[in-house]
Amino acid sequence: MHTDTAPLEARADTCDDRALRTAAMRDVLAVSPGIVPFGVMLGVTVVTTGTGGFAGVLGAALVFGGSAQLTTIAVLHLGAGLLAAVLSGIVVNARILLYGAALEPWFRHQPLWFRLLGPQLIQDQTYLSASVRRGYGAAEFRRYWAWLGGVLLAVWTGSVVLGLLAAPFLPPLPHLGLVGATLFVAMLVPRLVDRTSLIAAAVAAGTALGVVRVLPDLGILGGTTAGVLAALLARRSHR
Amino acid sequence: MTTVLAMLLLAAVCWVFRILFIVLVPADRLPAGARAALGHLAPAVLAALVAVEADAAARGADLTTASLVVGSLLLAGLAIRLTGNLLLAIGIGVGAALLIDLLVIA
Repeated sequence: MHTDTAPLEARADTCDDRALRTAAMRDVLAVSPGIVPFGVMLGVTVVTTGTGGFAGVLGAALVFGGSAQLTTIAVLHLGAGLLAAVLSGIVVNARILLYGAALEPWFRHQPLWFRLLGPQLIQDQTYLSASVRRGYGAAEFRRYWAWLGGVLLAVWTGSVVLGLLAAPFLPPLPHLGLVGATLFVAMLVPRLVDRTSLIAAAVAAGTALGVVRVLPDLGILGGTTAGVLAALLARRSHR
Repeated sequence: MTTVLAMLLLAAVCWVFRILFIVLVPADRLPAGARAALGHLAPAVLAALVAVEADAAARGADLTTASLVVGSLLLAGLAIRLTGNLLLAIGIGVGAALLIDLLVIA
């Protein structure tokens, strides 16, 4: 994780708006292939689960976190209560806490309105793109971030709408959720970087499988908690 | 209505999460233990999600479907490890879902 704490306000704003926009668009183009299929799949899932298009588009625009939204929709679809579904989505999206902590130096010297509104655009791809942009002054970062996050939000929401529109023309696909599962696998594998993360994943998966048989609503939360605790214990014993 | 409410609640909490260490609590004041725990959250929650999703897809299914579910997840993991290509992994999931729903079940 990037933890540069250099004061951004000390840097001169030297880039023009076109250069900042071009840089942001380049980053958008690089990450969009990973966003669009997931957005379309989410849109199709919204239709196949009978969630409702308005809720799907609203969630896409406001949550701006596909895995969290998908999880919440899936847990609701499985018959869980409102709070259990939202909690599951929150747990899935808890990584944005880390992204916020890592990007804090970029926001530290920004005006309050930007520190309150700008982070709404934090998610996997914006974090990964912005965290390597170290040379910007405060005003430059604001412009870059607005282009990057704003366009990505438009791409994401548009892809969900595309999925909503395409879904009626597709045959019944009850196993389409498997696409979400493979995406989660694709997000998981790069995070298995050491023994501790492997232990976290293995214990979480095993526990989730056990808990879901007894308490279906708590499978994800139970597995996650067990995985995190196992990882902390493994880290301590490894020292 | 429930789903709309869920989206609004989720969005509100996610916004608080996003600004927490930017506006509310300086990031460098986070206890080391909490940082360490959050660092392990992503692999744990993703693995739990995969396990629950796979269980939901394969539970009560015939051997062919269950094998396709597990096989596609393993193949997606192998594909992302070897190529880093998210589209390829997603494509494997799409292919497996279509295979199961259009050929195996039908």
